[in-house]
Amino acid sequence: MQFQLSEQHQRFQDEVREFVRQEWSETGLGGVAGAGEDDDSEHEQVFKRKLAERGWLGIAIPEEYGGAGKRPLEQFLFVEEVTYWGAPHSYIGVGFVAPTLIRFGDEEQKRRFVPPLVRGEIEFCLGYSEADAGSDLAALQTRVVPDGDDLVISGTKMYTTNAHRVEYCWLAGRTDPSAPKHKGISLVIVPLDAPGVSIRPLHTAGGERTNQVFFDDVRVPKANLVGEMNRGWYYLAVALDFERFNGFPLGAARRMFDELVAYTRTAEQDGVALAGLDWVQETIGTLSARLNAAMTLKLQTVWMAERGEIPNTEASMLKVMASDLAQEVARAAATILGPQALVKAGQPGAVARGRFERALRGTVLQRFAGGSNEIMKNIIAQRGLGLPRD
Amino acid sequence: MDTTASVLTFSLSEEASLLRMSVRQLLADSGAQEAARRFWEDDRDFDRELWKELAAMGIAGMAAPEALGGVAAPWSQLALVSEELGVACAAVPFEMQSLALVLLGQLHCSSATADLARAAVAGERVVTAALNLPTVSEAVPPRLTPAQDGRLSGQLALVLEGAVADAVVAPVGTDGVAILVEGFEREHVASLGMNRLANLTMAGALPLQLWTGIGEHERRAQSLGALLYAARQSGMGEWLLGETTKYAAERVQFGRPIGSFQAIQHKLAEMHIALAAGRFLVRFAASRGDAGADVALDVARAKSFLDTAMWQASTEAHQIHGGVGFVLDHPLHLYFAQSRGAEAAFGAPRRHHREVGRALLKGDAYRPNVLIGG
Repeated sequence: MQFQLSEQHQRFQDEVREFVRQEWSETGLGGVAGAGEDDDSEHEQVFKRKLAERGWLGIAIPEEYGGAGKRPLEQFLFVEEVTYWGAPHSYIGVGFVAPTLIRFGDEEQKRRFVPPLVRGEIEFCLGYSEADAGSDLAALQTRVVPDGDDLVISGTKMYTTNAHRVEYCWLAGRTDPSAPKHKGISLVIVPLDAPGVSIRPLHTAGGERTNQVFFDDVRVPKANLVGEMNRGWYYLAVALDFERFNGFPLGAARRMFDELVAYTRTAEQDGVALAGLDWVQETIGTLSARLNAAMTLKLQTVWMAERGEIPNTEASMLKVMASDLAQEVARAAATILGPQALVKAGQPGAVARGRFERALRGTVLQRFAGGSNEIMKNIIAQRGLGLPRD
Repeated sequence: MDTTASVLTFSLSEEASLLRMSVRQLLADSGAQEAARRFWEDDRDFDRELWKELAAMGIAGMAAPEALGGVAAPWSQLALVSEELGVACAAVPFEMQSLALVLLGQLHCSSATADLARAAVAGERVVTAALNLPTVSEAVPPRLTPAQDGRLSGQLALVLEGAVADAVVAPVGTDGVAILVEGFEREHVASLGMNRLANLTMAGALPLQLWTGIGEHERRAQSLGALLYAARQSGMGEWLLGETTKYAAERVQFGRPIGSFQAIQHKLAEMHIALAAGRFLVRFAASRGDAGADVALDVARAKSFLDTAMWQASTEAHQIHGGVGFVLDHPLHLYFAQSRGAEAAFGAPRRHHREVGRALLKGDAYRPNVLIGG
């Protein structure tokens, strides 16, 4: 395995860093994957427009759809830099929806949705999970019924993070209840300002807000059906591969680790210098090895993308390691810093702006979101190692 | 204007691919794994037939510089050979001889030393080095004491390949090494996977040659040792995962292959993740080293990560195989043993973790967002 960045790419990293420092700085404690605090919302929007103006928001989207047409490697460098500094980007819309739409949507849809995504004018949320369909996503029940020139949607989606802040829902619904469950699903783009859509907030232990979204006979034009009716599960599988490949950057975990190292260098507890303790050194060294290991898995997916492949097993492997690691770093901070790590942001004696406290809560999500790690291991064993299904 | 492009690849170069395939073929054809079984009860010898074939292929001494009959093979190629030796669990002293030859290649050799090195390259002699690192502490292991007349005295414990080596590169004084071919007593020590181990006692032994002031070369040789044993672990892991997956797919209980149960699938998935990443860490460290970077920390990370992954992999492989894999008829026990021995060579995980942690905690320049390495 070889990885060496050209001077040009190193300068690109520096450029993104400068830009983020100037235009985003660090508000709140962004950097844990997912929606930021609600009060960041406007600042996020402004920042994303500026990214778009630089041609970075849709950096690897083809030029014909308004993107910068850069390579997966540039996208990787950009996302790692931006997430390291806790700044937002379009991780759902540009990261998973656009590449899937480009593969399976019709030209009219691509032109309708991709350029505005790339310009930061619209964003998507994912209408996948339901109360009774999480890991068993194919059991989803939200109905999509053709009616003349429309499709009528009824049902309820769960954990539809960001539904309250975005324009569209990328929705998986059932178009044929009589077919075997994987064969009766379709993908539909649903405007969230359509009549019949209502949103109920769900606040989580990690501090971010998600939603339950009710679709009460919501009408969308048939032109919003992505690809063929009843073939949605296959498009969804690709979208999920993109989610595992693009949705788990290591930037936030690496930033947290660097902050932990920086803090521990000079930290003392009751007159004892933490950096001199064997077990502290070992903890830091273990994490350093694991972060490097995770980065090799990430780089493998980038290399595959550069060759035009869509990583499946490899993306699942990355997701498991990245999500485990995020929690391990938070845990290490707690074991090294003790009670100080638990003090909330803004409170007396908070360290690193309460980053570790928030991460302890926030990283819990990553091991089950975006495809639980248990499902990932099933995929790795079955698709990767060829073992039979349970 | 920068005309160099970024490099990102997980493919082996054509040359490396060919090397790998030809070594793999040789090991399969020569029945290396089967031969390795002979030494389970008594490892005072090694697979000499295979070693001759590896020498004929130019592999046994490839690490030596051209002046000593080798090809100054880059670390990435040495690591690739070690990986393949790991896949077959081959009983040959490649790692220790390689690091001894690299070290000698850095030093000014007398014609006697050069002749010895060339004989080692030709597979006629075996040279090892008594430079293993303590696994747990940063203490300096005992070194030989030079007398006024240049004779050396002392005890070197648990020397890897010490039972079969014709020559030993031994640590002397504070920062010297010597090469010895005679004048010492050798006591074989049977162990779990620390190959062909011996305690060596020198009582006024006259070295073939003695050098002083070579501290940096010694450290680099130890780093190479760690890298090559990590590469062995990587190869052994490849075999373990493949073999265990195959077994799980074939073994039927409760009317279905045990590999269809999630508990088994998850163990194997976890093995796959850890071993893949570990393999990449070894290859990354090796290729960075060949490009001239200081890879002491990368090697420490690769070794510690793989040693940890292989504890998991080797124990779970036994767990999944059950009784079938525990009888001596099955080669699994060889890999378990060799993995323990490889971990004990050139620093166990906690020591390497500590070294990396210390280095990172000592740095005062905040280098933000280093993607990998660093």
